[in-house]
Amino acid sequence: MDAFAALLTGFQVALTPLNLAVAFAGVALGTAIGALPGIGPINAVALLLPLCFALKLPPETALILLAGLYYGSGYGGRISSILLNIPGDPGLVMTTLDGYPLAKSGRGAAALAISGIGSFVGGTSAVILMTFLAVPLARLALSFGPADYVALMVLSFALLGTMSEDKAVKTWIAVALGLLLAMVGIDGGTGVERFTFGSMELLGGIDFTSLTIGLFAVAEILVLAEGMVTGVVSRTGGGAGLSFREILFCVPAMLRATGIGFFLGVLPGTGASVASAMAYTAEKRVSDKGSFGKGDMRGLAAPETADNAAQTGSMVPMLALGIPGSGTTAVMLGAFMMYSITPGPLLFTQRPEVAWGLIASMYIGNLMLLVLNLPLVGLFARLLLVPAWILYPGILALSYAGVYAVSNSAFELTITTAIGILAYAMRKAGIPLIPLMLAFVLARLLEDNFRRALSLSDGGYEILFSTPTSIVLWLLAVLAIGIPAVRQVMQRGRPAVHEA
Amino acid sequence: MRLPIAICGAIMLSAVAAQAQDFQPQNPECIAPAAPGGGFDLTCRLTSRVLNETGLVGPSIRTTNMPGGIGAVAYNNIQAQRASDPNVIVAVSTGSWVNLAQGKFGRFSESDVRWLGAIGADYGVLAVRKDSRFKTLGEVVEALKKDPTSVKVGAGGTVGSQDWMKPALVLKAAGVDPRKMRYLAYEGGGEAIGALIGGHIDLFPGDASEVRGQLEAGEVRLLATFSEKRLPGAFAQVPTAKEQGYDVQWPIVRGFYVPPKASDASYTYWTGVLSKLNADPRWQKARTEQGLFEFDMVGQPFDAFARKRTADFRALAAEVGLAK
Amino acid sequence: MVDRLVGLISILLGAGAIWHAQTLHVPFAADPVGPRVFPTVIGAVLILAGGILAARPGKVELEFGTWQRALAVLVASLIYPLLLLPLGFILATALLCFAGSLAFHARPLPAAVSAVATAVVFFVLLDKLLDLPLPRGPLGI
Repeated sequence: MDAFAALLTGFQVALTPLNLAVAFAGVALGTAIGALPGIGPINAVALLLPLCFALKLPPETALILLAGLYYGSGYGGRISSILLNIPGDPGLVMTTLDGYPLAKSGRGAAALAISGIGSFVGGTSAVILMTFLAVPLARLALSFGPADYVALMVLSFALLGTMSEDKAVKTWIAVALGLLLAMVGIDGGTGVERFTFGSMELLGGIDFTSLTIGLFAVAEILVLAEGMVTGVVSRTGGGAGLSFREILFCVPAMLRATGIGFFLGVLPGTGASVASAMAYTAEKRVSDKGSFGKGDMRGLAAPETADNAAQTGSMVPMLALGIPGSGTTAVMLGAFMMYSITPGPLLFTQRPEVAWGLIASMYIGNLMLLVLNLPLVGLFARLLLVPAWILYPGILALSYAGVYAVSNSAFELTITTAIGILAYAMRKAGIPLIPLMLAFVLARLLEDNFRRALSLSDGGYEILFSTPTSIVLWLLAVLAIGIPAVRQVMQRGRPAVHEA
Repeated sequence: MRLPIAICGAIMLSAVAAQAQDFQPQNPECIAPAAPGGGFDLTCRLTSRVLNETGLVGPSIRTTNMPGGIGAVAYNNIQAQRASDPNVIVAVSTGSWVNLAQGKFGRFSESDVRWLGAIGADYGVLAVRKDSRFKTLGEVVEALKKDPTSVKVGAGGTVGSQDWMKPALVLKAAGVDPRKMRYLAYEGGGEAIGALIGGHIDLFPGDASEVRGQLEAGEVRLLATFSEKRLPGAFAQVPTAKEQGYDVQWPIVRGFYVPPKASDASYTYWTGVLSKLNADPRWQKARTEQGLFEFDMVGQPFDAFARKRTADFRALAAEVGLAK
Repeated sequence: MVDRLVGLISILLGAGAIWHAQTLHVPFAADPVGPRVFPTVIGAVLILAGGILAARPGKVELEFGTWQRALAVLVASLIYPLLLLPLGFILATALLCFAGSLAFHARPLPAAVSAVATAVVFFVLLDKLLDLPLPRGPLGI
């Protein structure tokens, strides 16, 4: 198959005035919706799907709109993550680690700009990979078995366990709490209810979005209300104040993060949150000299790049094999079916104008996002000029409204607040929050795959080391734990680099 | 002779029509007891759209998502807060009845709502990878009889869910204890199909609409459909389980219920609307497009059907020790 | 002190998790691992980590600012879900924002104005523009 020729026909579809306008509307709307805490792209996609149908948009146009919404939302949420330390969606938690310190030091606009560039690099590189390698990559992802997932999760935990500067034992308490919260709900393997205490609302487990909002938004606002930390003071007058050298400095980090993010996005089950976390921890492991967490541009670029690369990556199994890699792509799969298009291996041959038109539109959409976002960073940074007594109560209300609008459950709000109380107590006691959140994401993947693996082997543990992939990942996990120990010995006395 | 009957019929019809005219919904609402994008959500949004487009329902119907426990949260919310609301319909599927039968809907039973009607159905199928050692349902059953742990079954539901029930019924029909089945629970049918194509599991008891794309591309083969008759289109070559000597049927019915104390006038109104919807060619087209097959059962027969299915599931769950 | 308390709570939570896992009624073994193993291991990690922390606590200075203000926001957050259905979204949200604004040092009149404005804007945004239905109060707003 000649991907170039096919892509050219795709551009012919994507460059029609209607499709260009729709792509623009999609990414702009996606950015706006991504900025709302609690309301992810999945709601926007589900909402607009019937509208596309009512407007009698042709299928490729509808899909271009939905895809634009999806990857556009990755751009929107970073505003509150960077400027306010409040991530509205799970994939954006790592963005706060270096983004917020940057904003605090008055470089909010520059941080927004670098994250926009990172998102563009991640999104566009992922589309390029998708253009030429979609089918083999999707096959490779499917060959990833339960044992490989287990090893991948162990590697993630190894990176996570050594990430925090805090007392190691406190990190482990946070990890265990995250794992415990993930156990709530019906156990898939046996149908048994765990930690639900008879509550029907808890049968489906604790919602990831509620957890993120409780941990970060609610707790942050409680701490701010106390007056213990002062919010960011805006110092941005004009442009981003980002030098070309700083961008170049981040390019290696962006490329590494693209690889990690795209790969984890293609794997069914692992999404943008795992990808951004892995990219951050890996980047920290590769290039940190003590400046990560204090406002290192690379620590911001890596998770942002990975987030968008993963979002694009999760479309690969959907387009190539008709298998949804995430919740949102599952909704898009529904869109295909409404248009009587059978998503699956035959899509590229039966409806090339749809498949390639969509892919071509993603090149255009990412470019639009960059052009749309960069001039606006100064404007976004002015969000901080809003007085605290309007801004923070407003964010609290918007977070609760978002949680309620999606769940229609007052109980869900109480859960969110309860998690906020837990997070507040943890911050007071010096227990880090991010390991809790990551453990929560990884726990289900680890437990499910561990049990699937042992089901396949009838209880034999040798299956965990049975594939080349799993062995490589286990070795990486050993290295992840081993290298910092060695480096600590090597590095004795060398002063850490602080960024002003 | 015929005339009086016709007149009687006409009078009755006009009476029904008059009664239906008594009730017109205000701000009608469809509750999808799941997060946006799921099957319930599509059922609500698509049905609402067609009902409004065809003019069967005048005021536009809004969709509310109320996720939790495959319908359990919505079921309880209706009982507690809107037991007599005539303007709301709630989406339901076979999966809800499976959980209802296992006591997962709290203290409420299938007699606590008014079952309205079905608007379509999907059917269970048994899929294997294209190069699988199994060619027929009989071969799978033989292998399971010899050693139940030798066949790895994987699907998108938990143990006790409908994806588990399908193969469990096959095992039961073959005289094998369903509890011995090796079952791998995945997060959603998509992941399970991926595991099937990736060669990690042997058998995928999914739904027809889920596997159509892979079937047409030759990635998977179907050993059986759990339908009464053969399914049309791409599925025409696939024998039913019944044809192969195992009388297992698994329609995944999609429909609606209304609150228990909804007035008779509103019940009549909504059943009338659904009957007309099922007869409308525009709906039939929209239904086929979302991968659903015809399942026209509205009003009293649907109510009886819902109760019968739930009772059957309760018996099965009790038999394998899953009931609360 | 704080670390010892955190350690003790961890130990209790861990013990609770293990106890809960052992009381799970498993109808039959669908997989060789079962639902008990993970909660048990997690409980053990909590007990172990909590034990280490309680035995060798570090120095944590508990610092509170004007905690009454945080408490006010918290109480407003806890009452909010209870008011949402009876009062409707706009009124309940305005009350939440009003309380929040006061906690962030606003004067009552500006706080009230911005609270109502915030609530109305969010209602239009979510209910009207995004078509995510929000509860209406007794007055239909």
